[in-house]
Amino acid sequence: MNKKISKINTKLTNLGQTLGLDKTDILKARRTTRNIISMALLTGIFLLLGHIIMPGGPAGLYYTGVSIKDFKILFGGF
Amino acid sequence: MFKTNNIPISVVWETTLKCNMKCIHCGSSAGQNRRNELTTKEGLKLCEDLNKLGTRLISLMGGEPLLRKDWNIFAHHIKNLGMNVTIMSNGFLIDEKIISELLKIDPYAVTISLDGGTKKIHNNIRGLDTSFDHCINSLKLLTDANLPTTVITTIHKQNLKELPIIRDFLLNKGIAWQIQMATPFGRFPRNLMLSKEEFYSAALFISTLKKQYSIKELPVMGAHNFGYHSKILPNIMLLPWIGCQAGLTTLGIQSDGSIKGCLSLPDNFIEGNIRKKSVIKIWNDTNSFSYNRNFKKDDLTGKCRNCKHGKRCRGGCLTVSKSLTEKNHGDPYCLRLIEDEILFS
Repeated sequence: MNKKISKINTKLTNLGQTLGLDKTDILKARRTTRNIISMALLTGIFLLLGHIIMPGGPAGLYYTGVSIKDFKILFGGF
Repeated sequence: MFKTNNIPISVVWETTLKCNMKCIHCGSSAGQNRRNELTTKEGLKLCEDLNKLGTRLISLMGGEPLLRKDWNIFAHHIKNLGMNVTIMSNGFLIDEKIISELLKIDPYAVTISLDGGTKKIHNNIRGLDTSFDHCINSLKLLTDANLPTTVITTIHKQNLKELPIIRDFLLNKGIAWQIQMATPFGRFPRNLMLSKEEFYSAALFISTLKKQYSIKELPVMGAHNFGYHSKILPNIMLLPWIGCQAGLTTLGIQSDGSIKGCLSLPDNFIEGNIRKKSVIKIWNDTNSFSYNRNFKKDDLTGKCRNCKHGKRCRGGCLTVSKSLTEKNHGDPYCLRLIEDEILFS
């Protein structure tokens, strides 16, 4: 198991090197239970707030160009 | 005809195909006007019809939308009708006069294309020697005026390695950054498309940025073709992928009045033309956008057929799927599929 994870981490490190990424940063950027839960919570908040602020949700989230306003709606004005 | 429950919340309107640049990745081969582009009167009526359908955002795109002398008439009309408007520009024409007009319009966003961190790469991609300087100047004018500004970077083999330079430029500037992959349609040659490994590197890059920097420092996201359901990376789009929205919540309008679910789809996805049938009738037609509205799990193609997320994902980006496989609902540039191929094999 550890060997498999180590192999994946090596491949990820190699892929990241294309853009000058550091091994430690790459491994930190992996999916974790914490960011899965935060994304689920965020989605819930988005659905609730989005529909209140704008029927159908924040408009800029749909496939066109994103707006800084979308980030502000989702992340509470920073 | 029946009335659909779907609402075209976000509409992208190519107001003109005329462009002052000649980008190598342009999916619509912009440059010259289309024949019979919509008149001002037709454009205003279109905005009114979209408002009746419940549209919340109209993005004015091109070509270069600022080349139309009536761009601001449309933008003001959209706002007066109570909708939001975004201007998607290459930044070349933005000067203090346009900034002053934009301030009156109060747009949802002004998006500027920046495809290189260096003059050489950006100008080469955009086919214009002074493009980079104009682009950087427009970003300064927009941020100085406190207008909601976004940089869109379309990546391919020629500019992938520019991403770290663009990152350094955008840090702490309050500019949203959308990174998207160029797809082989229009002028863009397939040999310049990212390999799957390069695509994954870009996704890893975005994921790393999201971890390294706060949203305030660098509000970055991968566009709709940066998914889906990765086993390794967290979601790098703004929200989790819920399937291609063409014809469900989004709509694309060509400058000659032709209607598609998404502007990046090829012309055989045209559902009708507003000169023959209003956008309201086209949207509400039972036969329109059937590839998404009547989607069934059996419609999945390629490796998506065996994916447990297939039904919800609908096989990723329809444009990427169509351009690379000639089939719908089977986007091979899927992080999950790529992981199976290059990480777990």
